[in-house]
Amino acid sequence: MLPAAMVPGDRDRKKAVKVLSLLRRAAEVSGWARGGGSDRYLPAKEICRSLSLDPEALYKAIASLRGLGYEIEEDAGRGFRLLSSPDIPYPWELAAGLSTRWLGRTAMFFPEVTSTNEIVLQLAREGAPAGLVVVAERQTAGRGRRGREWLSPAQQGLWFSLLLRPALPPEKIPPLALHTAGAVALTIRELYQLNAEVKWPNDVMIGGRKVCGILMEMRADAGGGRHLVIGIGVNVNMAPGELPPEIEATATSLRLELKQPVCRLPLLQNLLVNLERCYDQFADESKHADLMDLARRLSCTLGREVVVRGTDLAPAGFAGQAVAIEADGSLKVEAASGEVRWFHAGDVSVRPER
Amino acid sequence: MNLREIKELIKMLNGTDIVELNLEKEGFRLSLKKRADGGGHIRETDYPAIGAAAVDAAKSEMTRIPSPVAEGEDDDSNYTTIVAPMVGTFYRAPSPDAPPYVNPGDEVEVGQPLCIIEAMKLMNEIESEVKGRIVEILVENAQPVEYGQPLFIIEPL
Repeated sequence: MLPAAMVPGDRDRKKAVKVLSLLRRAAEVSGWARGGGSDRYLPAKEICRSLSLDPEALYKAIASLRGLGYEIEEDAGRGFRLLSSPDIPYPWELAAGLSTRWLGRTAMFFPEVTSTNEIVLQLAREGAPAGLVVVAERQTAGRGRRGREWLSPAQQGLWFSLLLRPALPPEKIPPLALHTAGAVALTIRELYQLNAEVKWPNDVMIGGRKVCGILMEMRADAGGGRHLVIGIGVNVNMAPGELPPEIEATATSLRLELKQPVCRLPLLQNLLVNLERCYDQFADESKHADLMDLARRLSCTLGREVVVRGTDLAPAGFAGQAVAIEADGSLKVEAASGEVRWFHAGDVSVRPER
Repeated sequence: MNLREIKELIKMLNGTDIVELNLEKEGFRLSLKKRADGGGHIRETDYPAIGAAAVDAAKSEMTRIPSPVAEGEDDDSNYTTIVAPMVGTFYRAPSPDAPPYVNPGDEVEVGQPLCIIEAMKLMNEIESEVKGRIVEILVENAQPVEYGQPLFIIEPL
């Protein structure tokens, strides 16, 4: 059973969203016409008339919007006025101003889920379309690699998963981890001028600390194809002291880097635009070399002294210089002894430069 | 194509009945032939021959790569082998503290998950393509696997 989602299709919610857009337009128009002036009220009668609502339905819509975190003031004489909107990526907020063609065109928002990957995997089995995006305010069992927990408290991050149905054969898919991380790093660079980099294979780092983690899960369809669920968690608004102690030394948030809070909605919209471009390119094999060049440019692993640890390696791991990211995405590491190994999996730690 | 990819290709060909492969791609041509004298395997020691291999410019077709489900060989012809569809790390359970997806002797349905192969943090769940009984699991948990490497032997039921 899925928890209750906020999908724009619900009839009452549709009405509420229409009321919201009227209030918002009124606020914007009066703000523009009167220099942020006083009169941003919209009379109840006018709302009812333009949306063909009866007053009872209007009050229901207002109550529902307030419940979602919108601050709406009522003045007996003048009507309603929108004071503020919450920074929550509701689907109707995401849709307004989203310039993607297919990614996020179907979106769902959940106040709380176990893990967004789990929801998308379930919806994928039920035939959900490629491009579906599921956002959660809070994950109670956010998943990292191999059963590791991914901490995802409310308000502080963007926790979302998306669904792809790639036509490429499974062995070609793994580099998408690098490219997804690359698209996230690019977005952070464009929006905030922060030096976001990718630690092989798919962690997005700022100044050596992790700001975004990605988990990709691929499964077979009943129809013979494969679906790919990509879970992305961005640490956005953790304030100083708010990162859990166990990751404080290795993680960061956009807010910590910028020293000011960040609006999540435009971040999500821009992420989806860059991710869509990346996936469009990836669907075309002639563009793979370009994508890999970008991945190399954004890499903070390439050229560095690294230690790779993995289940098949000695506990000390394999130490050497990361000399190449190959066309298949694997990491080529050359040890001081001259021994060369290629890694397709494993945990890489970059040794601090002396 | 680099030396490593060529090595991989050779490894893969050794598991098949293909005796000759010609490949042409953007100004690059490769021709691989297995020895006709019954050896039938390209060995690592044969590497120098690759550079000197006769290249037939007229031929450029790529011989078909076997599909992920290979029929069992010879006297085990009733068995189905599930092979790795990608290079990566083989995991028998969804997470380290979870029980394995399957054990030898288990009966499995079509579509039932058998293992995960991880490559670059992509967790690829591999399902059984037949209804049957697990005869043997050929790879230890958490070991690296190559493309096309046999993972499970299943007796169809």
